[in-house]
Amino acid sequence: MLINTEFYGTESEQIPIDSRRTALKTPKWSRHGESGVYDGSIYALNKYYNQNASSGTVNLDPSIIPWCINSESVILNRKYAFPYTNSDYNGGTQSTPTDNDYSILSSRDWFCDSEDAIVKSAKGYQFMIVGYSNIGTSDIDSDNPPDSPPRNTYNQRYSPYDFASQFLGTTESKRTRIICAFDYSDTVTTAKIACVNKDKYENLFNDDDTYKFKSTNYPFKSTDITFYDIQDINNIDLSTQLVIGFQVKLYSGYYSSNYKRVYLNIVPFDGYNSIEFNNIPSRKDYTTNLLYGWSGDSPANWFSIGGILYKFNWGTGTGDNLDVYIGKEYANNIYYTKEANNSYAFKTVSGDCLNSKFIYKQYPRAQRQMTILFKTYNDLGLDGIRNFIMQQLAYLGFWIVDNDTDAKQKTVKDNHFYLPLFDDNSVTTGQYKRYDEAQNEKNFAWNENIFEQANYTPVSDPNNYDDNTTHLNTITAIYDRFTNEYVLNGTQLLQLKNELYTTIASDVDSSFWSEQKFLTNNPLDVVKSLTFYPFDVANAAPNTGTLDFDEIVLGTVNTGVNATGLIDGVIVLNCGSCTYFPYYGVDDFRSYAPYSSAELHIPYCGSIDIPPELFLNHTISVKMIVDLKTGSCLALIYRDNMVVDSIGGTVGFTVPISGIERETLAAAERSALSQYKTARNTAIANVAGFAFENKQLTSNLGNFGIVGAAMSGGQLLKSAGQVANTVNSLRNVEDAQYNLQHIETPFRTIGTATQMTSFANEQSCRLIIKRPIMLDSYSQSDFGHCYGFATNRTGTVSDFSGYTQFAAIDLSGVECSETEKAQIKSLMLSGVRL
Amino acid sequence: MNVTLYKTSNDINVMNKTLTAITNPIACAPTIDCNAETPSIILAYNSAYLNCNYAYIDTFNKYYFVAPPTVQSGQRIKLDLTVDALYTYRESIKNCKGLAVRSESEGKPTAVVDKMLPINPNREEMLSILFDRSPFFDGTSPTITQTARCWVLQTM
Repeated sequence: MLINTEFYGTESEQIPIDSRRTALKTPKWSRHGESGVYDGSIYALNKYYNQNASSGTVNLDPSIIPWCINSESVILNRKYAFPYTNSDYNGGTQSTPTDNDYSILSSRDWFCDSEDAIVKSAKGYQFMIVGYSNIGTSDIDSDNPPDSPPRNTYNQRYSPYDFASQFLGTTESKRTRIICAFDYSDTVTTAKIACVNKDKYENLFNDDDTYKFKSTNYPFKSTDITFYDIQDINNIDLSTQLVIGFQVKLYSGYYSSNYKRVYLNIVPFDGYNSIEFNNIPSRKDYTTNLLYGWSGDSPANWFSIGGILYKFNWGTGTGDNLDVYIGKEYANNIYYTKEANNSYAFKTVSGDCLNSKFIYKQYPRAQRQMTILFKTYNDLGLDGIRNFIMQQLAYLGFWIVDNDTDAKQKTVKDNHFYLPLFDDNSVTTGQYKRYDEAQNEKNFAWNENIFEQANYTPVSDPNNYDDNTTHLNTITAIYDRFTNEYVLNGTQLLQLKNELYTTIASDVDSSFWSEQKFLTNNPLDVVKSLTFYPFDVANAAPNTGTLDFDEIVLGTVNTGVNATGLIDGVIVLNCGSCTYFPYYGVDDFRSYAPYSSAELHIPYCGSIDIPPELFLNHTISVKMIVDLKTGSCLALIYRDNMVVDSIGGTVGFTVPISGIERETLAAAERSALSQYKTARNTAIANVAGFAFENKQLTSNLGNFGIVGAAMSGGQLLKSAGQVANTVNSLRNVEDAQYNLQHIETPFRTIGTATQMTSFANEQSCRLIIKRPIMLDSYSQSDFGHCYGFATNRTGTVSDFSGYTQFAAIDLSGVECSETEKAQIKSLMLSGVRL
Repeated sequence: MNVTLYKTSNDINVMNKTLTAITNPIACAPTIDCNAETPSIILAYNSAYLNCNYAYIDTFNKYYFVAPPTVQSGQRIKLDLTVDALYTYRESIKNCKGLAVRSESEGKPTAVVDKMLPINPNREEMLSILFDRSPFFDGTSPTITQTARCWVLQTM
């Protein structure tokens, strides 16, 4: 797959997608062995930038570092590799850099392991900055950047190294960096392991655990280091050699100058003139815990096997915080320990790092003259070191090769190639498989013809799965001011009733007055509902609670009765929880339907099935949403934190208040007005007496009487109307008297209450579980001995013991006659004792 | 060829049988057609042979079930053997792959429904768990009093 290497002029401009590369949409991958958040395709591109350090200015042109697929990655462009001014270089005058000053564009910036840095890195792009070339004689014209790498006559790109060779900067003031993102399919990785021989270091404390490099050996020359391929790791003698690091090498497919496809190491520095520790060239006041190999002025990219554990502080150090600068640290100032020590912890600039992380990039701005204790991994042993390195390579997601030669020459079918594994989320796991074992892996489609034939498009789950937690809506107060709701206790209710039947009734001197005050000639009509709840509503309502008392207003009449104004329209009640314990275990069929069952009784709602397959070994809880305007409720059944079922019911006992309807209010008013005045008290007394004489509930409902039979005002009025229409000859007095008897009075009769049975029932939720029991004669051990237990497990025969019956068995490895095989198979299928 | 006689109390379907030798290897030669799977051998009578039910023939390198011996005239005893392939090839069989549908070593009933398990068909156990809290009035707390604000009045 060819490489797209377009330049773009603005930070926000996106890199065009090579249409061929979209077929290689890369799965998310983990840079750190953790779940990644990266997605997108891999693009290989070559970018560069200049920096003119000697002039004190940074001649970085962010426009030539497009790198931008989304706005977050634009941040990259504003981060420069070097401090802004020359004075920043000099020790003593250096200001404390912030994270914003860090660049991830240096050749040592592989991938950042801090949250902040992750945000700043180019999301979705598997990229590595592989160093910079410092050869050539002229600067890149940043205003007219060349199309890099150059194309051959077949419109194919050269390798980045070839490109780099054309760009320039022989002095420190001229820097050219090759920034490449590597096509996953095109790249294989290997590592070179670096070892230092014992004659180069000395024990610090004569404990054979902690030692440092001899000053006379600094700086190391490449000849001081012995390099090994991964496949040759067993040639390392840990008793005489210290494994200090490894270099990742990436071989990517490019067209050579003769237009042949080759794998070139895009980390172009194979040899080193010297090796220094913790030094960044041209950032002399910064160091890292990386190793650096030098080829002339060109550093390479190494990863140390180990990390900074501790600092011994002297000079002007400020404690354990590495957030200060150090100068160039000489290897002889670094102490190494071979042994793991649990009292140490890896430290980075911004916090602890996990030693499983691939990136060791930090700029641990440790202080000058500080001695750093460096833990090596010798104690892991060769196998441990090998596994560690292989794991780090596997995190990257490229094919892994355990030696340099095969990386350049062999195909992935070779025994030395390993495929990194992805999990179901397409994130690398740090594990790997040999080619012949990896056939079923989803990224196996990348083969030796990866850059031409791979059509792998990973299927990614588009859903964002949450944590299985139901979040109920937060009900704020519902200010329904068209109606008024009050919360009363029994005493207040009696007060209200008394107020109705005494004060208000006595105030009513005409139905006209009643209509003026209540919009009806029956004041009781303004009472829309009276509902009893089997709990303290004011306590349960979050917004009502301890509000000041509200005077109950009926229509426009202040009753003088104080209650609590109800603001909440809906409340949520916690009805408790329990755990559905798996008596027979979660892996026992007896725990599930149809053998076991469960039912949950919820007060005021009823019963609901609790399927064991859903709820077994989980917490079952119930929350009840109560509609205070209607008395209805909805019980939510939770499986742990998630609502999985619901059942409705009625928790409020609405006391029906039946009004007497009027067909013609005006006509009845005229005809009965005069009689009403004289007969008012009688009418009131009749209605009130009727109400009190027909109580059906006991005192636990308060003193408000409930009438058994409701008088239907509509029926009476219709009768009155019918009579009035048909009896035309009745005298006025008789009509008046008749009408008075049937006129709607300003009081309402009360109907029958409902659902008291629920109140008399259990008030807590109850989970009822039914589960099977065994026959009395059952013995688990005897049964297993005679029959075995039902299973459906595959394995080798030696995996089983005791009575075992097979449904299928492969006797291919048994060298016997067919008759004997038939005998064996017959026995195995009917049951054998192993 | 040599035959060694054993006795065993193990069932035919036991792979790792416990064999008790009755004799040392007895030299013998087939006097009739003898195949490796169902050989018959005739030995000089020895009452000890009457107790054997298992044998090994080194020539065939196989183990055999021995049918009840037949005593013949001439103080001979005839043994009819049938190969025990399960024991003979046990080491190879142990490396074979298979799908087990019943197994003692699974330990206890598994998620796979076992219809042979003697579950009581007529009885079941019923248990109940009362939830740990209730928001409603009950006989314990809180009781309904004149001060409990449990009435909601809705008015115009």
